[in-house]
Amino acid sequence: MSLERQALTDAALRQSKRLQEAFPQWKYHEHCTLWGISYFWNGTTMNLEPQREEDFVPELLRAVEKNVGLQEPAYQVSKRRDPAMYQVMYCLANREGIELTMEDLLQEKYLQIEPLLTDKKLLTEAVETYVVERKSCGLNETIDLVHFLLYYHMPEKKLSLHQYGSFEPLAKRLTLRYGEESAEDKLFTLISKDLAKEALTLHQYALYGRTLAVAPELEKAHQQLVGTPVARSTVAPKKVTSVSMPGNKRVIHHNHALNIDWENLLKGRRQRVTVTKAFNREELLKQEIKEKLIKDYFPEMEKDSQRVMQELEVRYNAASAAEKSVFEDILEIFQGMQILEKSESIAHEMNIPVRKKGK
Amino acid sequence: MSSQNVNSLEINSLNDDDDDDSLKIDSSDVDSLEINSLKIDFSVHSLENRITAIVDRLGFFPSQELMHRNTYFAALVREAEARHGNLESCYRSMGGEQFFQQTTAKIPSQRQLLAAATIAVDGARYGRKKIEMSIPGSQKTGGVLLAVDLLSKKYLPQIAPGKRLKTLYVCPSGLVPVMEQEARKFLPKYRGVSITQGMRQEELLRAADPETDIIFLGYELSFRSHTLGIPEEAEKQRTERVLALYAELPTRNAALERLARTVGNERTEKFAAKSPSWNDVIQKVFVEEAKHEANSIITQLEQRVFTPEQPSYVILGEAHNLVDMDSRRAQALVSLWKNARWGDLETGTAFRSSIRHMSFLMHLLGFVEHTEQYSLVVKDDPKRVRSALQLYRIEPVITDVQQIDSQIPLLQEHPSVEYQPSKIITETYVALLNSELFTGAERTYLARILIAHPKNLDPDHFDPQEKEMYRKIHTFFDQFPHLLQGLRQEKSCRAEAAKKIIESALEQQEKVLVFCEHNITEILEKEFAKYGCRRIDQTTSLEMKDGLADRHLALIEAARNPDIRVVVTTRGILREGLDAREFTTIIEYEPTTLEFRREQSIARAYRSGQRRQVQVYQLLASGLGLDERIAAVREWRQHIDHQIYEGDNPSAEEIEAYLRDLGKLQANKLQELLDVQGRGYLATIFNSLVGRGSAGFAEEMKKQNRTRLLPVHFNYRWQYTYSANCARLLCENIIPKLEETQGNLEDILDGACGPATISRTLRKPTTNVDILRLQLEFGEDACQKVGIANGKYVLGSIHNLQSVIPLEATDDEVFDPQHLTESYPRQEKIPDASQDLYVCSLGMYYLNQEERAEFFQEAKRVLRNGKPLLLLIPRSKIATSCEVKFLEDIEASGFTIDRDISGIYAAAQATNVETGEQQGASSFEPYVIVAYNQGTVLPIQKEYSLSLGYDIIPSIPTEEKPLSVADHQKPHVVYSGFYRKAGPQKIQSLSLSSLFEEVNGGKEVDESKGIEGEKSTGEEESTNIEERVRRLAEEKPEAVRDMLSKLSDIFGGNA
Repeated sequence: MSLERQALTDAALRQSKRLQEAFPQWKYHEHCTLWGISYFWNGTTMNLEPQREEDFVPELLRAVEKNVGLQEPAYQVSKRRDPAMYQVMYCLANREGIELTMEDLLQEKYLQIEPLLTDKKLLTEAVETYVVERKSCGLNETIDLVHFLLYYHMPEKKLSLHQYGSFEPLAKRLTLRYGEESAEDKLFTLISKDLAKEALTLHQYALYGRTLAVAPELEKAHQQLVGTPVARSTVAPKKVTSVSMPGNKRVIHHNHALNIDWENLLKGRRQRVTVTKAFNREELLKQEIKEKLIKDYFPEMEKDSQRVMQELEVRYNAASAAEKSVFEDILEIFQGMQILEKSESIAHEMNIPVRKKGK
Repeated sequence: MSSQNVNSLEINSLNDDDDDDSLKIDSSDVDSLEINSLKIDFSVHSLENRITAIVDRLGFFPSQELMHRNTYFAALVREAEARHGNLESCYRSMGGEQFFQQTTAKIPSQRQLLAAATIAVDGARYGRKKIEMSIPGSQKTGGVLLAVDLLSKKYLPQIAPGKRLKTLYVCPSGLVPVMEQEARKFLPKYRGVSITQGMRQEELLRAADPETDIIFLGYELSFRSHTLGIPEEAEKQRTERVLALYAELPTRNAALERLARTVGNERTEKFAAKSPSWNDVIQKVFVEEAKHEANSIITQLEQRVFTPEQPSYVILGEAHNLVDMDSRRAQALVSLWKNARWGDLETGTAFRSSIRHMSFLMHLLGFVEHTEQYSLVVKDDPKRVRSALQLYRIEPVITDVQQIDSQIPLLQEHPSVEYQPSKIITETYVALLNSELFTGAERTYLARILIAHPKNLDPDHFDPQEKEMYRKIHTFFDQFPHLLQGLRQEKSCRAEAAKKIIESALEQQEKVLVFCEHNITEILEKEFAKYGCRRIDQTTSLEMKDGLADRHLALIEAARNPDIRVVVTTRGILREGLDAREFTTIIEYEPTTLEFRREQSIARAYRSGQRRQVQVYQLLASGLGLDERIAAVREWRQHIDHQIYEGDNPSAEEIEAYLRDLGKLQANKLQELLDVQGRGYLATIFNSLVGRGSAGFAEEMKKQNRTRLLPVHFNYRWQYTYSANCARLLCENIIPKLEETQGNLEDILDGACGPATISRTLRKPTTNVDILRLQLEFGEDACQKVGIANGKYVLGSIHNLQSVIPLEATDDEVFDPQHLTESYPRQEKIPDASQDLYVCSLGMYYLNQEERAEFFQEAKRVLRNGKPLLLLIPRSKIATSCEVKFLEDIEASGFTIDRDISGIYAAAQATNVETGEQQGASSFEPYVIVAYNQGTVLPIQKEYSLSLGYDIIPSIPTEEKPLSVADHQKPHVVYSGFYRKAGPQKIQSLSLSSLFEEVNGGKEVDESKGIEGEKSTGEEESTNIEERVRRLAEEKPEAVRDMLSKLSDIFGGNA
């Protein structure tokens, strides 16, 4: 039975209200979502046998399809075996479409439901708790936000690695929404800027022992001096190899619930952290600038080292704080060359026995 | 006194070769000698000229002792003594001290100063160790060593006042004297000591002396076999020690117990599992104990010299030799390296043959904490490697010798000098590749031996100790005795091709280096003997004595003996530290996949100071494919190497992406596979499953996300896929034809149905069997959408229709054919004689041989009497040579093939869905078989072979025929206008065609009549043939007689 637009709007309003009602008590529950409430909440408890309002979600998805198109979920559940979770997977893969459609349906009333629908409210609570706990040393300095979301237990106010915590369903939703690689970045865009900045700093220190921010002056200097490398066209010979399939089975569907294989996902994440640790972008930018300057000045060193050094001094004095260390390096290297050139402990010429002409 | 800005060790060779009269003819008439089959004719080249050439190369008058280490030099000494009384007099007659004039060269170069300062500054400011990776022969060592002075002068007083810097230089043992010499050249005021095998106790004491600055150590002293290149004294010691072990350990068990004390029980047990002889165990004990002792050198250095408080600088020379983190050598060095404040890795070929080989070096540099992280971080992407190296490499990296020596003529490469291999070599090659005796690697190995020199493949040349290979090669030639006979009489085509190059080079007065991969140096020495050939191989020791190894002397002899024009050697022998610039023609007799080896070997001749043009020739056996294949691999590596050394730095965006995207890249790759190469990917997976059987298929499907990804992708725009085109062919063309004779086909079974392909195309319900749940569910959905209800969907395998599982009876995503009873309490059976039609499109060939037999039996069981089985197999999955036998096997199973309908089908039209354009339809060529059930069930055990199972000649990826998965990217195409292109007897007509072609003098046979829709029936074809035979019989009666005789061979008397 197809619901007309008005009927769909009414249903959307009704489900929004139910979500608002359920949220205070059930906010940490996996199914405390617009679609989960529709299928599983009976007004007082979460009942895992799907019931009530079961037409709402398919109709909403049809509206999403008409409105902005429907994305296929990366992971699917058998429609025959679990029709409710089959629809839930579509909802999780079409969060933006649902939000737009709900806004379209509810108009100004959407604002009341938006923080719940988008997970902003719950995420803000989580991040605020994270910041407070980190600052008060309630959490170890190596605990990053993702681990916090997975293992922090709100009722007990403590982290326990033995059991997934209160925000694990939230982490799951974010992961399914943004993808396992992007969720970690995207979650900072869902909260207020100040909170995001503070949390990001703590999070990055926990992971990398440094922040990943690069001084804008350095970026600018790099752009001016090095610019964007112009790709030289090289034709690669054909690579003779077979392909391998990346990714592991990360989502397991069981008994009306989705379980993410976090262990596997975190393994992949640890690799990402290794990459980020290995490539220190600030250092790479500095190194490129240094290489460029050495390339420019090195040929001049043999001709007139004094002039080169003076010129570098002038540039050093005018440089921004971020650039100064680059000039310090170069000046020190060139000074080192000068020391060696004057050193009496090294040979400055070598004798070569050469056969005399005619011998 | 002139001053030159050069600082090569090989400065004495800078004499202009035009002045070198060692090759000129001297008319003085004196006796001649014969040394090592080379005649020393003093009437052609005088004694003085010969000695001059040697002295000139060495840069000093060699002692009598040194001269006696080489047979040729010793012969010259004897001649000198005969003529002048003694060698000294001979030298005096050459001018004595007046022979040389002293000139000086300015050192160090600006590049060397820059390298030294960079190492010092980065170590002091950031604790960062460096890598000097300029190409071989670019005088890296000087710069690396000069850092010692800057560190001592400037930085030590700042960080450790009053302390003296200790430097450790580790490199291959053979290079230690060379490096010592470099240190004396650049750092004359610093004291160095080399630790050698024989004098290690005294030298360790000297190393610990506060006055010692630089300690030189060979890698081999911390690892490796001690049996290689051991000097006489050490050899004597070795023999004594081994004899002592025999005495001490009289039984195998006693020897194993002793081994366990050194290497532990686990390793000993592993070793014992190989059933080594008593002798083997004794040798193992000797080697392991020697390693243990060698490790103690490092330990002692750590304890006595490089203590934690001692500021130190460690240089690892030729660092590409450090590959394996677990090697004893590597482990022993790691702690010394890590304790050092300054460090430098020196290698001209860091990349070796794989990006992954750099993992240990990158770990040493501190880029990653563990070696295994390196691959995860750089992911085989040369740009990432470049970025990873950015913080550590010393810039500018010298990538061409011309950057430091502008006068060197450009290297000239001749990448493929083709020659035609003989018939017997080609035959043997094909027989080798087709032989089931060998593994893939063994085939390649033997093929390489064959191509290099046919005589080398003679089973008598194989080592009986290598039991398995020895047995196999004998068995092989027992099967093909005529090939062995042929090979024994065969000349080496490759050697003949090389001779042409050699002759041309000799005409130009060039000396030739021949590099071969395998141990055929001895054979080639004989092959090239007439030109004056010397081999330098593992029989010449690299052990140093008085600063020169016998191998150096052999090379100097070859370079300066005018009677030697050709040197045969291997890339492993003539490598780092050796100078062979007199050889300006290089023949790469055998190709290598290892670019770094190739670079190192060419750098022996193409190096700073070279003034003649160096020519490099690569031989290529035309048509065999192996050389090209090896070259393709090497070129790929060369490309990677080039990207790392000279490629672009990553852009800011790319660096940003590196920071974020390990997973993202995976996601991109996944997306790419799905969006762009999805069908290619599917094809790759499915192709790998042909013949694997239902269990293998199921197992593969369970891996990773395939159970979901494959069906999802398979069904993405399914109507444009190959599967859909095949379904349309069957439903629009074949099944209606069957219904003309069979009446309405009500009960249809679709085996290996995928997404219910027949039901949704035919628009009627069918019984659908598949191994994948999601395929069935997709099919069910698709059928429901078009209003087809009442279809049956069951999990199962087509070889066993007695046990199929209704979807609702299980949660399994993949049918498990191996554990039917345990996995599925509720099973159903497709009833006997219940089906009017059994369709199996794109499925049967995944079964293994046993299952194929079961498949046909099951098909008979479920089909009603006289009803058809309809099979569709892609043309590529049924070899023409197997076609007739396959059909015979089906008929033997109790079916009758419908030869009017069966055959190769094609499409008249192909429409590109994306562009709407018409395109060639030739790639659509499925093979359709219609077989009617004849009722009686026969107990059969046939092969049902669809392919030979192997390739006769490995194909080379070309523009026209690439192998890469990316090339499976084909547009979505809808085929239409299906017609039968050829009947099942096509194999016979093909034979006829080829015979026609043969008798017709190679003229192509006109087959156009067979390609026009339904016109080409079997009847017409045979009429065609009759006419053509008649016509040809009039024109060429002899040829037709011959042809008929051949036909009789094929078809018996009926022909």
